Amino acid sequence: MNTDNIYAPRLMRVIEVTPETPDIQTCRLRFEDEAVAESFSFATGQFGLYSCFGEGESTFCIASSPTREGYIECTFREVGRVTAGLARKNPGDFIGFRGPYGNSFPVEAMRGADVHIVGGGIGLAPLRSLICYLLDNRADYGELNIVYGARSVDDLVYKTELEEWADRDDLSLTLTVDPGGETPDWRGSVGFVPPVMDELKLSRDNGWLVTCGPPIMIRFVFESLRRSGWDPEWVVTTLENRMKCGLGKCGRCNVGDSYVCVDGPVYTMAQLDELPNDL
Amino acid sequence: MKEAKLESLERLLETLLAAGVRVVGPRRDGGRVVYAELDSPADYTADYIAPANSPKEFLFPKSETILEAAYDAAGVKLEDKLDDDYPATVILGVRPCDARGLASLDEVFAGEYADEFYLRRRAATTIVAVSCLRCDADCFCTSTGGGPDDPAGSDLLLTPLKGGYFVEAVTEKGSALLDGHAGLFDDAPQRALRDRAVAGVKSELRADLAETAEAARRFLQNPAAYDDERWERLAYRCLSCGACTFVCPTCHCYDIVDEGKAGASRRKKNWDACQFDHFTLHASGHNPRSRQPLRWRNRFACKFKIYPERWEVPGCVGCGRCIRVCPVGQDITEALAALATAAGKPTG
Ligand code: SF4
Ligand code: SF4
Ligand code: FES
Repeated sequence: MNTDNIYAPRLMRVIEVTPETPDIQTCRLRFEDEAVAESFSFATGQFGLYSCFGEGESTFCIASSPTREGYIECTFREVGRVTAGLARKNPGDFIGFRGPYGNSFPVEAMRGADVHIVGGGIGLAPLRSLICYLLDNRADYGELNIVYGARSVDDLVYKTELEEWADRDDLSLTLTVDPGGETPDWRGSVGFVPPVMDELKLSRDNGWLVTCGPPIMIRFVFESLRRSGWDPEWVVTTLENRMKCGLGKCGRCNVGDSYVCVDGPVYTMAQLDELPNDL
Repeated sequence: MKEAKLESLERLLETLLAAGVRVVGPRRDGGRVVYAELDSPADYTADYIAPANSPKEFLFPKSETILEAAYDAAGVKLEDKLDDDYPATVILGVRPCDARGLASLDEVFAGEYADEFYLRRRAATTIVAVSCLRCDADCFCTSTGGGPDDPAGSDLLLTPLKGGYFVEAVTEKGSALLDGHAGLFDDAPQRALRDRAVAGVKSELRADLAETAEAARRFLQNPAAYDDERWERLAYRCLSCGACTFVCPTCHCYDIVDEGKAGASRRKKNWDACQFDHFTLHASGHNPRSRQPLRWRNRFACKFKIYPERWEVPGCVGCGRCIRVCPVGQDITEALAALATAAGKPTG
């Protein structure tokens, strides 16, 4: 392939498909070309464009951590033509990948601090990359709290990992489902993520809070953090705007004059406060 | 840079066409004039203000294949559609506003991620602009920092005189075109003749919008300006048809789509528009710009804030096309004037 073509994807082979919920799945991928596999690197929080040839490209974060080498993972919901095409792929099949693009979570700045992760629904995907990164560098970080919720028990993603995390004593995991979404044997909380987060009274001293989820959830999380006086420079989220090029050219992903694909997708609450209401 | 006189535009066209150069220029198309490929010198018309389309489509095609894929159970074969060479092209008769618009597009497609589809076409293209001696009520180039004889973005600028053109090379490429066709050019007449030729149109062009582009940029500096109640009023008419974006020389939005059939597909880069409701629609169903005033606001902010700040070039060159083409009379200069007033237009 001509590397001067910024739109040219690299071929990746699907090596594992994990169903997460009835309509969400995770694909583990490996570059077909060994040299590309060797030289590829990314930072936690970055994203890529995934191709199902004949259907098109879709944007997802890289849901795995750069500390787990040899593959990348993406987690997506089947909602349209491209994701339906990707969902039909089986181990051994090929897809295309361009990336990594965008900025990343401030893991250097977070060193030595506590990290609180607040996620909702499929918004756990980028956070999971970060969580795995933190766990693989556990000694460099302080307390690790994870609050994660979904509409129902069925809608929780990464169930195997949630169980592993629950068993660890170097992090605290709080799971919740929306009222009505619980099953008889559900042992987590019942309630929306923001109030469940509030009950935990997370300490904002020396603490970063990283959140991702549906826009409405993020809004309530921000409101709550603002009320409690959390430093907006220490609150981080990642935006999931519609993207096509990922290169700052197609004009689709901007919030005001910030191009999420190149200036983001990771923003602090302080940065978002400076941006217009275009979200 | 070099100056000269061109006696006959027709002979220049003839020479270029005979040399196999692809020549694009103003050409009659029914009742209007459009930039189109010229087959013979007779296709060129000098009777136009701004052609109906912008010249961007010759550098940034409406639809372009960027990749082909062939696949079966055994695997995928990709074929890159980026060519090494694009046909040598001269766009002749480009209006100075449009040439300036192309210079703005250059910045979008260059940069860290260089779009070689655009840049290689651009490298193979020479822009020969022709100064305007006439304008219409929708032209406002001078209010955006340009002018009817502004050389920005051109390689060669021709200004019509009585009997010929005053020629100035703006870039090396323009000089090369002069040198390569020395027999067609004479010594330059006095520059004062050229300046006199455009004096009339300069005095006719709208002057009431001076400084408004900069004032609008300042207005948008405040994030709260996006919530200003004026947007609803300024954009309530807009139908989301997107026509304004397609005729605009600086609108750069595009989509990337696959056209597939069993076994093979083509990936295309197609013009798109921020005025369409699906443009920013998230997979979740959330749409950050769900209503038309928000989309029109985005177009305006792109022209007057994003372009000047992100790419440090003008986003609007005042060609007036979006005003001429809009089926409901949406007029970007009304918004410019209104928002500049809101920003506190500098007095004096
Ligand atoms: S401003 Fe006019 S031309 Fe542009 S999208 Fe709206 S209705 Fe169409
Ligand atoms: S915004 Fe309108 S007037 Fe300005 S350059 Fe584009 S089409 Fe021309
Ligand atoms: S995705 Fe194309 S500009 Fe950001």
